[in-house]
Amino acid sequence: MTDIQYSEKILEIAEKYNYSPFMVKQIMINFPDEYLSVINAFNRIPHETIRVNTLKISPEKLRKLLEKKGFHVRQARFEYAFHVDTSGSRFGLGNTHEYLQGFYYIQSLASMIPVHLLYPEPGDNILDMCAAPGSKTTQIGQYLNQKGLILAVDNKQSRIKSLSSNVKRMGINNCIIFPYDSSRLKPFLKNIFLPDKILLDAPCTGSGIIRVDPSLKKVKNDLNINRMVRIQKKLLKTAIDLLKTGGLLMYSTCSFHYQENEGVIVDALKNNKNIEIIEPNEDFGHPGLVNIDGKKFGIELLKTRRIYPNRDDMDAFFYCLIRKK
Amino acid sequence: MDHSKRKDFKAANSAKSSDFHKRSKKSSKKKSRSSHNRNIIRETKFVTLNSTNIQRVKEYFETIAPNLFNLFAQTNNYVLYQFEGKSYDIFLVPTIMSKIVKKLSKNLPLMHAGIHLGYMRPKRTHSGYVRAFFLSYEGGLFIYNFILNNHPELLKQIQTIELNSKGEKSFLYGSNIEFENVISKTANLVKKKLIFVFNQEKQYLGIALLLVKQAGKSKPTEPGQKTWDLHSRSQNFTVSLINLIDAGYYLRRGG
Repeated sequence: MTDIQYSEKILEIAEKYNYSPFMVKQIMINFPDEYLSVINAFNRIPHETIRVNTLKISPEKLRKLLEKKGFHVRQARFEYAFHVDTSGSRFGLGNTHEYLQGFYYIQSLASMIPVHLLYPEPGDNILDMCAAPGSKTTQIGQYLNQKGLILAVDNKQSRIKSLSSNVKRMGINNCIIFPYDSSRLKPFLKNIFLPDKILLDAPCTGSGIIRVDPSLKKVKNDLNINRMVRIQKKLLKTAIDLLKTGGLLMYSTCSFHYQENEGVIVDALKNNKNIEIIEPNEDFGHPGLVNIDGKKFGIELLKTRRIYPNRDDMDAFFYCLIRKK
Repeated sequence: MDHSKRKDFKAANSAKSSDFHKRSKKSSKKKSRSSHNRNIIRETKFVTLNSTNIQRVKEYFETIAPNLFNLFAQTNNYVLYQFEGKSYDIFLVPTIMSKIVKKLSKNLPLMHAGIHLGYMRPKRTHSGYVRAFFLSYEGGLFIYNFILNNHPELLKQIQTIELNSKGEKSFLYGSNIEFENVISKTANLVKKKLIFVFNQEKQYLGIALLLVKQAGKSKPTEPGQKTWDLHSRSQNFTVSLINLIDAGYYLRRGG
């Protein structure tokens, strides 16, 4: 019955690439001019990338240690990130002594960008609203250099263990962790903690990381998108309320659905007159969508950024830097 | 009267009960969402360390180097906190952070703040189980760096060993240390005193302890047979280096 609403072209592509017709349709909506190229890019095996923990070791020193172990190490876009080819080594990246010592964190390049654009500085108070498992929290810790404070919150208590473990391993000393629903934090943080910067790496459908989790190709309906959008709007509202005037908020998702990205930002702009989108001063990704699926979002959205898997050879991500006026 | 045998009653009853279950399921779902976070707060506590536990930590520090705890306390850079929940963890919270931790912990279920120093656990003694302090992997690294950077004069008093690559691998798998894998060590290792373990590149691997066990004869084959040779007590013992904690626990315990 559901097949009727899909054109033959969609069904043909879905069968050829082993996707559900729903996902093919979504890719066609979000990448109208390059959907085939995007589908092909999602089939590529992602590079293994590591972030060097500069709190513990310098990139040059770690590079030598890894090369000694037979890894082929290549500089990535950030000076503290490397692409690592593990095929020449008998070790895996997740069980070397250097990993256990917290010298590096295995993290995709796209997921390093939000913190890089937020640019936490030593002494800042940072709130990480959906922190587990801690990749971006530990990256913030690296930028803060043990000065300032990180409040890392996550709703899922089961994931707090891994967050805590990663924070310990990476040697972050200025972090407070607790399990809580971030959208209900406002009454508890008032007059106690005023964040200079907030990272909201919102829970999402994860459609942008098909390369890592191919099971996402088979998603059949938009129920999950709608559920996530409701959560994202709630979280973003709380984040704006909590942020100090003049503070920065980074909203990011690893989804390509415009509803979870531009849609959420447009809604926030409508309901909050005291915020503005800031265009990142570094050249990452491509401008957000302004005109899509019969909807017009306004040119403000050109200041947001999207990572395309086909153009940038990374997972599909969305970033939006917001300042509270 | 047995209602369960009556077909009509059973049907009516089951319909009602299924309705009831639906309603109760709904209500319990709602309840769990709203009360979930409140329950966590009730179940856990994040408070400053009490005097009994401070004494326990102090006693443990004495097994590393004499007067270490006092030297550490003099710096005034950290406040000791305890997390009470399913586990019982001890944290070193930087003084600058302490004020905010105190305020937040009143209403929020804090689980981690600052540096994880160790945990309180039951320890087996001759007189039964007593609660004692155990150093964590991060705690060991912190203390070693504290001595190295602030009190290098104590370096002579602490015990260290260096392992070869075979010993390092085995230690990181959680195994005890074999003496043949020890490349170098501080002059005379003393029992019941903490040992910091390093690899050939002088990277910290974890902590160990020298254990001396009296070795008896083999198990008695017949009832009433003498098991211990009283005269050989002073000579007959085994010495081993036991693994207290190593960096491999990040992988073994998950996360």
